Amino acid sequence: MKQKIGTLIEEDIMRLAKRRAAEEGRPLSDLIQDALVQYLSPGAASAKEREMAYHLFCERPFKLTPEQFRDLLEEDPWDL
Amino acid sequence: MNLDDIPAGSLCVIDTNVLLYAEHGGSLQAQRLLRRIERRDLLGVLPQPVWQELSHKFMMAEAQMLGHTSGGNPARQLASKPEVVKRLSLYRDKIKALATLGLGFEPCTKADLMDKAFELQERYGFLTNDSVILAIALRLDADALVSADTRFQVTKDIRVYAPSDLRLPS
Repeated sequence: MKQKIGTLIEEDIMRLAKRRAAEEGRPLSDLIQDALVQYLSPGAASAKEREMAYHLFCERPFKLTPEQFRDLLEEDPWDL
Repeated sequence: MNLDDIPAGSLCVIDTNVLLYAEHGGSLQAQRLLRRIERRDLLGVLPQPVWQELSHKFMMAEAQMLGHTSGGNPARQLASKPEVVKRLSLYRDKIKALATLGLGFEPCTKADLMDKAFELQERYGFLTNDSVILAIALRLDADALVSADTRFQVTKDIRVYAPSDLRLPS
């Protein structure tokens, strides 16, 4: 669950963060969370990488006929 | 309850069929679910059997799309063509994309199978993969099990969400 926090941040850092959030068209909280995730788990994907991954997965589907898709849903991986 | 009803911040364990519908564009709810995970509005985890099953199905899909298999039992056809398997790559990119967009990988432990999954099989009559997926979801204390499979609806152990906008190709 998301939690509300209160903290103090240097004014110029806050200005930069707000500007970046505006440029990327997303909420400031989202940007701060992203920065924290990067700090806490350095290998984690950036927001841009996650966005690109979403596009690859959802917007470039395998070109299957309706029948092939239905077979795929029913395909049993253990059926050789 | 459909997938748009899942509260923000929930930990969701997702079944293979939902990901197939999301990939194929057969459910906008399934795509929105992945979008929410990508934006960290939800936490998504796939149990090990789901990663394996999805990899297998996507491999079959890519082989079929490229004309390397046709008709029944594509797995058997592909098993006899290791050179073809080596050249397939889109299915791997798609599986890696799921990990990149934020889906976690939860391995199956000995206790998941031998204690919990077997108990669930006795109680509900689930097949092995389904019972392992549910056992892992219960161990993680997940808020939601997301599946298009109506068999999971009998369980009272966890909240089950199913897409209500499935568009099977006609």
